[in-house]
Amino acid sequence: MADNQKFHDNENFRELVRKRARMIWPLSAFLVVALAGNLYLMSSGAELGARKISENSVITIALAYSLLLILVGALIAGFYVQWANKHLDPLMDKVRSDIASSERGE
Amino acid sequence: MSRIIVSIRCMISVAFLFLVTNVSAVASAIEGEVERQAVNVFAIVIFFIFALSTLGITWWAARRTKSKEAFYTASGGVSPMQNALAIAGDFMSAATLLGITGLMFFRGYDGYILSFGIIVGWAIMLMIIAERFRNLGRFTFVDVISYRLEGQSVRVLMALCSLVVIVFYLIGQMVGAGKLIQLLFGLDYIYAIIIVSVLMVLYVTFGGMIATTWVQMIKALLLLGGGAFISYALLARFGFSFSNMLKASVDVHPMGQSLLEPGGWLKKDPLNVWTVGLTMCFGIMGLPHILMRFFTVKDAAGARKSVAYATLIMSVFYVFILIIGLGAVAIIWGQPEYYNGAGKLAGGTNMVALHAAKALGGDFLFGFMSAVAFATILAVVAGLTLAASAAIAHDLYALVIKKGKADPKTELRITKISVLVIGAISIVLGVIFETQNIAVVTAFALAIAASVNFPLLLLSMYWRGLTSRGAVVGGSLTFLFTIVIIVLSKNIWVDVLGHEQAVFPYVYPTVFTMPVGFVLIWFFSLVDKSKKAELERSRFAAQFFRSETGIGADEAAKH
Repeated sequence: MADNQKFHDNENFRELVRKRARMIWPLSAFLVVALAGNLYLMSSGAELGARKISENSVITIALAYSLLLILVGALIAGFYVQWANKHLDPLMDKVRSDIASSERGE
Repeated sequence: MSRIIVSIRCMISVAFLFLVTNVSAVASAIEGEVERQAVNVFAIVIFFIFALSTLGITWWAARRTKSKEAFYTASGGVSPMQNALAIAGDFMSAATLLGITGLMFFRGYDGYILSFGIIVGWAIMLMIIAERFRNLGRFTFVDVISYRLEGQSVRVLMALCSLVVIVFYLIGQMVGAGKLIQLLFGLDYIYAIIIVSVLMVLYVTFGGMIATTWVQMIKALLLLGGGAFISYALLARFGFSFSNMLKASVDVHPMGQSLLEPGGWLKKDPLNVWTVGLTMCFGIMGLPHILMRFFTVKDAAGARKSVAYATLIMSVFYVFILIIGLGAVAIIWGQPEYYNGAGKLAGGTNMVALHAAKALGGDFLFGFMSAVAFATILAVVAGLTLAASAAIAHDLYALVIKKGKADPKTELRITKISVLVIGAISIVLGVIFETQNIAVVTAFALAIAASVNFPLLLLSMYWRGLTSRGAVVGGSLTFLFTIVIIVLSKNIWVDVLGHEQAVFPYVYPTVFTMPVGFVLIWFFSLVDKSKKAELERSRFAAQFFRSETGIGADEAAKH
């Protein structure tokens, strides 16, 4: 596989890299920001975090936010695996077959 | 083969003898120990069933564990769903079940920071690490980092970092295990540690990754089942209203409404909150025993599925933790039967989840959860031991000392010897650290994982400019810096060295050490103008191609 550098120009490979990068970096950045939000509600924004979500409830905004954060983390994990199974795996197969055919010298 | 069976039998009977003689011996010693719980028959029976069935599995797995591939990675033959359970079983420790619930019971909402940061970390690890990691390595995370880096120094440094993280993590588990078993089963601390160590050595030496995987899967199911049942029974007491349950907790807790507000533990101190949050989120991405599990599936898609399912499983578990931690207040706080003569919670702060089990399901559920806690520890230490033996035999012996030309049989023998040595060392360390503050030990392990292992892993995968000199110089300096900060923190500077005030006022140093790790590794790679550095940078394109597609990974696995 020493010469696989030439496959960097392969259209399917570039598509794979582009597609994946466009999904994983924004989602990861979003998760880090969402986590930062929770850390803010526990420190500088603790006054806001300590407010109740409604008059009659004892549940605070910080507590609700943390539960929501776990839900969002789980949803993103579930979404990503579905999306990658559907969109990335077929592209990977294409790259593989491109390489196999070029190795056969076609 | 028959020799192995005989020695397994031998060791089982030794372990059995320890348990039996001491359960009877302890009955007379019990009055001296106020904290010790009455011996619970269910706990012992359930634990025995667990120990015997996992040893049975080990016996079965031993016949399938003949090669190095089988030993380290179960030859990539674990299915994604099995691996997801095993990852969850490898990661969810007794500290999670007992520690976080205890923290929330006393200090309220703040303790939950130890949970949500972890789920965020897992979701990020799924997307940016899992698949590439599987594509680039075979046995250990050192394989991945040194994929395109020349020379032995990177391997040596990273193997040492792996070992430091694993050993410190192991100390935390061992001491926790010893105390817990002492408490629940009435065994002496030293025997408790010996039993844990003997079982862990048996699983790993004979059954390798296959046995470890099964132990972790069974434990994960038991832990989830127990957590689900306690949460269900707790909510049922309050008409399945989460809100009513919390109202009842707020009513009896002296903190009142502030039980659910931020500030009960970390005092709204931004630096402290951030350093704990960052440690939880990024520390998990540098744990060698967790990362090693990604190699047990057949390809990158399998790694992706297993990490995603594991994230889902753990997020459910962390919701149970919240329900148990805060809900237990409503049924246990101030109830005399759970307090000792001194007015403290019987058995200490880590007993909340177990008292809740007793309140909701009587002696049976208490015994069940005690056995589950024991099983949980075993599953985690088995994973740690396996990763440590891989770091010694694969990274250090086969690739550094023998320069990749080790005889596979000798390597496998060295692996098994390492397991025995680690088992012995863990007993010694468990005894040495018995009375030490375990928080600082675990903080150190996670801080090194987040500040050295994680930056190196991320930069090696995504940054063309990383060189071996940058990795070694930057990594070692960060390692030293982390030690310095830990020494300056209250746990060492004040409690051990006897100074008046801590220079570094927090437990976790990550908020400083992780950025420092990134900057140092980046800087020393950038100024590296050597020929070797040029070669390493030029290899990035090929590495990137393989990390994205996995092409080449399959061929490599056949060697």
